[in-house]
Amino acid sequence: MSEASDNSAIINDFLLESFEALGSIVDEITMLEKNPKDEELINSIYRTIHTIKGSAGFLGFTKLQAVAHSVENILSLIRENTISLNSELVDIFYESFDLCSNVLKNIEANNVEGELDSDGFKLKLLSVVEKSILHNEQIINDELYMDELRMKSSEQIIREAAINNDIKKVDIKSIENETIKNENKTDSKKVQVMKEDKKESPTKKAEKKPAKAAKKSVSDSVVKVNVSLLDDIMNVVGELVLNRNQIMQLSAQKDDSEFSTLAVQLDAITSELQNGIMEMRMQPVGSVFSKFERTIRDLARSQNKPIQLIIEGKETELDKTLLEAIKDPMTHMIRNSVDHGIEKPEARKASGKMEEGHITIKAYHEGGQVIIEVKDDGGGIDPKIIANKAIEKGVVTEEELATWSDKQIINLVFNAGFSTAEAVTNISGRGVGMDVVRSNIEKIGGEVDLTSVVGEGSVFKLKIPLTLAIVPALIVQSRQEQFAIHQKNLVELVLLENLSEKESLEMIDDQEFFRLRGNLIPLFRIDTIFKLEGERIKNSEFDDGDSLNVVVMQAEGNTYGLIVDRVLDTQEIVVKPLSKKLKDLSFYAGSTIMGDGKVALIIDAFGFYNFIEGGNAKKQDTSKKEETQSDNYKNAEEQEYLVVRLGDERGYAIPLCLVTRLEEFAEKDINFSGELALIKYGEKPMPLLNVEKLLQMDATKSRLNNLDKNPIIPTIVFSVKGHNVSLVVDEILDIGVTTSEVNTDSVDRDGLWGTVYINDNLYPVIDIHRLVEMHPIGKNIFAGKKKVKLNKTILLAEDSPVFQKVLIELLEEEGFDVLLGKNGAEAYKILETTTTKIDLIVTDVEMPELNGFQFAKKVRENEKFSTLPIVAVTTRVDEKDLQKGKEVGFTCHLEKLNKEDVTSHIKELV
Amino acid sequence: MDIENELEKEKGLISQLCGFTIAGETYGIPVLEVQEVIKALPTSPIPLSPEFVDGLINLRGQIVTAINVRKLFGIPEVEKPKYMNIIVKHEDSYYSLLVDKILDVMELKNSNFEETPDTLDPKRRGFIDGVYKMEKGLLILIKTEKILDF
Repeated sequence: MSEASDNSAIINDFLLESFEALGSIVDEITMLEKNPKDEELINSIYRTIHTIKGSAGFLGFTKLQAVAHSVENILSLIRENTISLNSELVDIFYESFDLCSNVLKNIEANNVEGELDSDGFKLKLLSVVEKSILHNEQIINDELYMDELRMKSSEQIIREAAINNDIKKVDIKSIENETIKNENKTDSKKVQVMKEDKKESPTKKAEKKPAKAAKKSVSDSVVKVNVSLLDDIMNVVGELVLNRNQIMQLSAQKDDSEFSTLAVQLDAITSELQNGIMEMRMQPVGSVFSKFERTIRDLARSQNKPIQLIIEGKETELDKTLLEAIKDPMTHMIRNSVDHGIEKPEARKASGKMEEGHITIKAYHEGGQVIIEVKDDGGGIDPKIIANKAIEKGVVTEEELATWSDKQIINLVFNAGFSTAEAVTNISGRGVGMDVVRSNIEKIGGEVDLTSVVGEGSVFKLKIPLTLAIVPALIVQSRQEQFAIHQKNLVELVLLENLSEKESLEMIDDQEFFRLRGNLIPLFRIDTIFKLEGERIKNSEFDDGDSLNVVVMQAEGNTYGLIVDRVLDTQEIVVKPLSKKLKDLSFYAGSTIMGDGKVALIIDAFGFYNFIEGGNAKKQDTSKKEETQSDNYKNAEEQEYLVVRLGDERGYAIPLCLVTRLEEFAEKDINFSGELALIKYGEKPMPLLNVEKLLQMDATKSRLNNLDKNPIIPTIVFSVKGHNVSLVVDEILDIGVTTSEVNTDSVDRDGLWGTVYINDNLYPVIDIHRLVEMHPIGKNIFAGKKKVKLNKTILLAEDSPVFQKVLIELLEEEGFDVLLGKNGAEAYKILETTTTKIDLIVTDVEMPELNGFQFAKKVRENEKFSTLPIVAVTTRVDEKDLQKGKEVGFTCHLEKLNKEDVTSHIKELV
Repeated sequence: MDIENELEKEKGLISQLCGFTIAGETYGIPVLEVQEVIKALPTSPIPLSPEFVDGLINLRGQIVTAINVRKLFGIPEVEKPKYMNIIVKHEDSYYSLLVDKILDVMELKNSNFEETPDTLDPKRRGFIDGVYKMEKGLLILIKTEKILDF
């Protein structure tokens, strides 16, 4: 028994190696076609084919060996410059590699080479080579011509041998020996290689060695691991994550500090392990993308469209399973681009484009996902054509289409049964394509969408999650059941209190809504929809049922609120897919095992929304209600604050718009420079500030001085003049929203800006910039840049002291002088009365007295200022607002928090 | 006797079934299909799933979909039902068949196998492959695939 398994082990190794080798020479041939004179490439391909030939021969796969040998011969001729690489040769190479691949597959499945007309193939090879020689303009000397003749004679021998089956094998060997002898005569350079050829059968190892020796240096630092082993480890780590969750839960309940410490350490270790495992499975996308070179080449040639493929971001890494999963969808999208996107060269020329079409594949990381764009500069997709087809196929009605944007219409191509190709080609298939592409991408938790401009081209954008199995989620409870919601779909959590007093809920056509900062959000009750039994769960003893916990979610642009009994925790959960039989329940994304061992279902945000909308076929005519509301635009602006606790056990507030990130750092990663604590953040060291010290409180209470008790510290990262700085706090408590303003009188020390009321609690507001200024590093940061005066004045209309500060600083940094109006009315007064020339207006939108829209309208009505640029800044940019802004005369309408955007626009306009 | 038995098994003349009862009647599924048999475990219901899907069970870290066979067969439930779980695997997922009582592994001669009698109610017929005559009464052979085909 063991003998047989030994054999198959060798064959398995051979197969593994050969498949890999074939894969790499296909890529190398593609590259070689672009750089036909690259000697290193030629040699590398030669060596690889040589190894395949040798191994095949050793294991008795003679047909494979024969094909490899023929390819080897051609490579020699190329190496000697007897023939130069042309597209027919490249084609034949591809064919031979495909042939080898098929043989290998047959060996894998049936342990035999199977049917292979290696002789017939050889003839084909020879004839192509002949043609190449004949077409070659280089001098063909006699010897080489004799070579050709000799090869021709071997051709004849083959033909004769073919008649007599029995001696076929033997003859091929002798023919090879002949060709070997022939080649030997030509060049002494090849002697060494040939010697190895001759010693083929007995000294197999000697042959293998040179090729292997070359590879050794690279393979030393790399280990080949079976993917199934990685999968198993991934599963085990998943279990560890669950176990860790249970331990964390237990530790929170018990009051054992030793246990807590250990639990915290376990947490850190597990996270690291998780990250390590994920990294193991990550592969650069380039490995898959480079295969597309060939796909495009073949397709382009078959359609006579010259196309160039540009690949950007090939080092971007993606989990191996996900990479496998996107191969097919991407192939399809590329085929689509070649087939339907890129026009024929004549058409391109006629429209002024370069005859050569371009397809760009771009990959990059963004926001916890990998984004892959497939872009072509072809003819684009005409929404009108799509719309007509859609109506024709009954996919949408004309009325529905009337409200859709062009982008929504174009994305109809992902609908099942949709194909606009006039002639259904076998390349892109029949309308089965795009919807399968989308479902395959969604299966792995990703999204795909399409944008296109008629005449310019189209872009497919894929968003793939970095990992499949372990995701951050919010756990909620409704009645007796717990549910998990993926964090990526979470917008925010809202507590609607005192329902009986306030009019927080509105009803339109049997559908409940509530208002979130001016927007109407539909509400869905989980207990009703899921028909859950039991009593509503109270949140605390004071819970009198007069409040609602709303989880605001978003999926594919649809925002809605889910009413739950209780919001529990955020956790990293292991996603376990539901059984296939339950796939109809599209509102579930799977299930997971909670810390206490119970099973919780994961709600799929998009599936849930679709399910509801499908059930409620009634159209919500909310648009009319919205109109009447927008005139009473909210004039009081809401400000968000991050509430933290410092070492003095008190709560403090920090304006959220100034915060870049919340991070946790471990003691072991902190380094000290003098007394300054630093941590590696990105590429540079980032200072960790002891807030208690700067605020002249008891510095020893800072977490920085208590690292032995608690090795993990929470910090708030923010950016000052391009530098990252972080404040160390005791605990991050909450995010609070308030409309009340900061009272700047009530402070007694530098570093505090004032106080603010959040939910009836008074908090001192920390002035982050001032803290940095006070700190020794502040000198370095603030000294850096000199102000260049532009001698231009900007009128700023802004009511919130926080944003006043931020915007004034921003504008003064750029060298502008700023005049401030605390609201629209004040700003207008300044505009009218001032003697200084105002070059540009920056205005907030939500202001008391006169809001941004009304202010702009007034400004425009005054002839003197009709051409004055007005830049509107707001915390949220919304379609309706943009429209209204245009009407009243905003020159542009931007997001406050995007500093770069704001400064670049302003600089342009001034 | 034993040797004879073994020989008959070898020749495929005897089927080994995992026997169980539901509402007093005896059923069986091929032993090889059974992963394990386990006592009642806490189940988390799946809202809006078909009635006979009882919910999800956590079996040592694996998610198992529990199927209430009684409901599937249209037999009314008792006051406080207590079930046993027969864990089977089908197409990469684990399922549990909820049954009243688990019997021993039963060895039945194929010669005693008969086609499903016409008298058997239509609701159950779709899930049944046939019956075995036992010394006392009948054992109804269940086709697991049909149960999991929803």
